Amino acid sequence: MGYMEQCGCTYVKEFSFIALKLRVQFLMQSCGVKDMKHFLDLVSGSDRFKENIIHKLCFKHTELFRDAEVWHKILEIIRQSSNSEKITVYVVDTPDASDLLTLLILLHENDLMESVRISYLCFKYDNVGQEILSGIELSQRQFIQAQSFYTSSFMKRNPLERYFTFSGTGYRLNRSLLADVSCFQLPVYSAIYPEPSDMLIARNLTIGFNFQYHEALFTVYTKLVKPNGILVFGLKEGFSWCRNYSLTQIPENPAFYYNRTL
Amino acid sequence: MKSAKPKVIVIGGSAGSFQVVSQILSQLKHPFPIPVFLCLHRLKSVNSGFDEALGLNTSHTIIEPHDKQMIKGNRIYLAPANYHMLAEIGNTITLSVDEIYRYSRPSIDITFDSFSYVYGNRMIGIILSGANSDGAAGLYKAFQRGSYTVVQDRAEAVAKTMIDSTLKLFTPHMVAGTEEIIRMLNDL
Repeated sequence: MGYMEQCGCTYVKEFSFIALKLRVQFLMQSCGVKDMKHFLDLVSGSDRFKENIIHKLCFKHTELFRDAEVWHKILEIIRQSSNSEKITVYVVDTPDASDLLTLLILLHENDLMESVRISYLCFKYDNVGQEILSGIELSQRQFIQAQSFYTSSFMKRNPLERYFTFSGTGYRLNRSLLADVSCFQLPVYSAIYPEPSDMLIARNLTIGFNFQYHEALFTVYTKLVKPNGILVFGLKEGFSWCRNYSLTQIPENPAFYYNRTL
Repeated sequence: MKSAKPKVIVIGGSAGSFQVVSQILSQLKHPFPIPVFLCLHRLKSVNSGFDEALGLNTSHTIIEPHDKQMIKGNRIYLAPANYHMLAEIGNTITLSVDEIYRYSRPSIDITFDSFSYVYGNRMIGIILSGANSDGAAGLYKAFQRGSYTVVQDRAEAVAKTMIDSTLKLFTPHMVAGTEEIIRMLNDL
């Protein structure tokens, strides 16, 4: 686990074979690379192109509101849990922070921000989270896609203009949305854990990695959640060994597990 | 069909393919030891119900696989909504949340490409009715890798774009109506 960095090339090194192939395929297409010779010419001739390649290889596109029913359930749990004191929610994310942004927008829209304390758990450094978040920009295509997904899934007037500003080339995230978010390093390098949370959202993160890393990540996740707290994974991540960790799936909600570890 | 015994069958389709797939599954012999993979375009916001609907007229087991699930015979695997479905060396299924490809996730191109990469001439790829070109390039790649390729007869397809795009790229091993496709599968 020591060399599994979310924010650098070594992270990609541990991708499963197919996931890596798919990523490189997309990368070539999105950079307009015709063939290997063209690629080599571009890499040797332009530092900017090289930076662009590394960025695209390591960072996924932001996709907001993916899997609407999961977010409806998360909001329902937060509503039910937030009677007295604030509940803590950790979001483990790929560096594009799409799940974190989705959660923040939905909490704002549902007047639930006062009920939660949110932390963003990054793989690398404590401060990288804020740096990444402040640089987020959606392309027009991504923005329109997010708008239509929001209106089709949450049936309210589209709020995205309040959280993003058009920059001329794309839509930049307004920093105010991140004001109440703290960032931690995900404890994969050290045994120093933050206080366990009431809910951990770690959706579709293991999916790119080879099988041997899943269990290691899973061990970290379970230590980050209080007994009877909730872990939220991708709908199709399918952790067959979860019983070893005393996790119980919430009926009819395949992405949600109670942490029964005492 | 004269080639190596197939280890997987991959079927791709979009608009107008649901009825065809239902018919194939309802008439497919039971048990059917070769795993069948369905990559069908579907609404990304609807995660459940599709496999149940497909399973109404068949006794075959239809599964939406999880990531890294082992591939077994006597199963029909349906690509989950909003995930690409790929095969990995070692007989497992990998799901991916990578970018939408040709406006689709699951993308048929990606599924054909990945499965033919792993299984080569041990794969049968079938393209059905569809209203966009996703799948054509993937099936062509599979053809180049030695997979046996089948395209639904355009005369009976509800939407013909997917079929026409495929036929523009190459001449598949077989162009056939639904009944003929079913016969071919049951003869394996």
